[in-house]
Amino acid sequence: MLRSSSRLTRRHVLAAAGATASALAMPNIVRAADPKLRVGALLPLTGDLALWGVPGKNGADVWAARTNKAGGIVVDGVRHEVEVVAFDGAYIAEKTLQGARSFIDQEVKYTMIIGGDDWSALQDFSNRNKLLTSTLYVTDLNPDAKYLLAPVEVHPLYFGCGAEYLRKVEPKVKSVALCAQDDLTGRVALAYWRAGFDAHNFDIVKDEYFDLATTDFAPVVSSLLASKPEAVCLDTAYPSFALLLVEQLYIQGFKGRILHAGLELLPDMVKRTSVEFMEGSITFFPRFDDAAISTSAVGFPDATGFYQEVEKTYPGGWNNTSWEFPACLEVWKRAVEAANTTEPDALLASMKANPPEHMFGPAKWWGEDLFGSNNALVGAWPIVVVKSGKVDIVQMSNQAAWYEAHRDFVVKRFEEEQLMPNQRR
Amino acid sequence: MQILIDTLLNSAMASAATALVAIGLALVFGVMRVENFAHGELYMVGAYVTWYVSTVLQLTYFPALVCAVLFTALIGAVMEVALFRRLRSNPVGCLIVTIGVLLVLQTAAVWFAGINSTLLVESPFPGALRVSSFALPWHRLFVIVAAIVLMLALTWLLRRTMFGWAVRAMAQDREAASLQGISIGTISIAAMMLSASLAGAAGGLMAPIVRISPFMGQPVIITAFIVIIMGGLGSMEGAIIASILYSTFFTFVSTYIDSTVAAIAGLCIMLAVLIFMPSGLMGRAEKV
Repeated sequence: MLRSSSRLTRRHVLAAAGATASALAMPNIVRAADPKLRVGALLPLTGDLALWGVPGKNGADVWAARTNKAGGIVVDGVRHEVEVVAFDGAYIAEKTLQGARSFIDQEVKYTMIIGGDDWSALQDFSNRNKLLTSTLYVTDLNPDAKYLLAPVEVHPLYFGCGAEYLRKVEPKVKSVALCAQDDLTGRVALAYWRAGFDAHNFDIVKDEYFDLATTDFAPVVSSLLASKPEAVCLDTAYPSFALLLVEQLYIQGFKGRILHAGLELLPDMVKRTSVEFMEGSITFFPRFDDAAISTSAVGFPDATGFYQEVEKTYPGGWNNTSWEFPACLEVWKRAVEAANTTEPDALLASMKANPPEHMFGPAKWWGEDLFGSNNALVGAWPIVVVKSGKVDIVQMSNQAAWYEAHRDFVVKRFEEEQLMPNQRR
Repeated sequence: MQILIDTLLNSAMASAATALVAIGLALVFGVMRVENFAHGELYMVGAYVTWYVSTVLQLTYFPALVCAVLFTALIGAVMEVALFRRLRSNPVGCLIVTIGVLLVLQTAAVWFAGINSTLLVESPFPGALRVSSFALPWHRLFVIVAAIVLMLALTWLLRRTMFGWAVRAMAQDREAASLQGISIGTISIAAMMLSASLAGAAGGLMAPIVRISPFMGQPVIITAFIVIIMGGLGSMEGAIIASILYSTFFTFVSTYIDSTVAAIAGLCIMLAVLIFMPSGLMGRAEKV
């Protein structure tokens, strides 16, 4: 009975299996002929750090559109369009790893992450699959991270120059108070700030970490101001933390300079304090409608036009990561065109032999001393100062030269925080 | 001296806001025997509604605060009718359901406003009261006064009205209260609405001061649970006293030592209370 009702023969089974295997293999066959080069934005598109991830992904999309319009990327004489593939890693290890797996399936050639906790999740996977990745945190570099680059921002290397600038413009200021959230980002950055203040003869009168779960920043600021600092450094406090800290500094009557990595929410800070209160605050990320940007960001083609296009496409969505991730892509594009390959090992070797131009001009590979890996592309970096509620580039600083001149201070402070390559676990 | 004044004011404000959240939690536990893990998210919803109405709809702060109270009360009613009522004989089920509600509300906040952590609510009382060299921010003073007024109103409601007697009767013995003709369902809905609206009010009051994010309820619920355990589960007087003690301790340690140390020390205090005073400061010991 059973045999008579079934019309499935061995030949049918073999044919079906062949067809299924062909269908499954088809995407790869199709992709093999696909001239597009895929780059991956493995960024937090949800979660607290979406404030960095979403503008980064949007900036990368605009960069890809402009690059394609200008002729794409030329590899071995063949023009390729570039396509940004995004995955919401949410700054969660499992999701980040899931995104990296999907990037391998989609033959992504280059992956961008914020860095920090998401790199911790990726390192082994990246090594096994040769996932060439860029980070914004130079502190992710380590001797075992073979395919990781810090091609644009080498946070927190510019903080030393920030302390130097403060000394230059405020020769009489002696005391400074520092605070940061109690995580790896905060600790690494604060260690570098301390070294900067040590090197330029500031007294650190208060130095504290606050818990990531802090919602009310009044006690934190009361504690800082109790030491009567003449300048307050908010380190790399996450944007929403920095906003509330600045507001409390204002309410509690602080008068002096504020230093912070990005002042991402400067318009809101001005709104909650005053133009006068924020005047003179020191930070490190320029605005792209600054007239000086075209002469400073020489490694970024048509910076002003790029800014205008991002603002047009994503009104009000611009922030520092809007240009940082595109700048990572620009470095990669130059390297690919110079090496005529996207194969990670060959590309890395070519990049190391001929360092591509950095966002802010000529650069060199650096990092062995502090991180055990020379995969940071260090060029100049701007110091920007708040003037009339906006940030203006006041000078370009040489981060690597500052480090070479003050290495001992950095090493001492990094050792205190167990951050040197031989101390890391 | 300034730091001491600032710290005392910050302690008072933290105590007031914590007490509002904690007494709502204690109320629901006392009346319904439900450990509402979503209570912190009701606080978060209160802050979001305040932001939406005051900033997006551009009504002023006070209508926004009223909307926050009403909206969270509505969520409380829905939670009671749709979830807790069906699981009344299953306390573990209720607990799991509250965790589900927590996740739903967080995700809804993400969906609704994204994870933009920079939602700003303008205070109706900007600036600070300057007394000599001391600065007392007006909004912090307002939070303290508003919380005291709300707690006095709640005390009056529970001590002086038929509804309050019914709530207290239910908290003491649900079956006996039912035999006296008290409607368990009606009182449960009312208690849940009251509890949720207190959390919503706290969220709305704190919205101009704190960071508004979908996850802002997490530290709040942890603090609230520490407080109601310290105060004695289900005791509202205990929750108020424990709020003042815990928040003052936490604020002083945060200011003079470190906020991470304060968080750890707070948990140690809770453990010490559980070991040496298992029924809390105002809880009643039960014979087994």
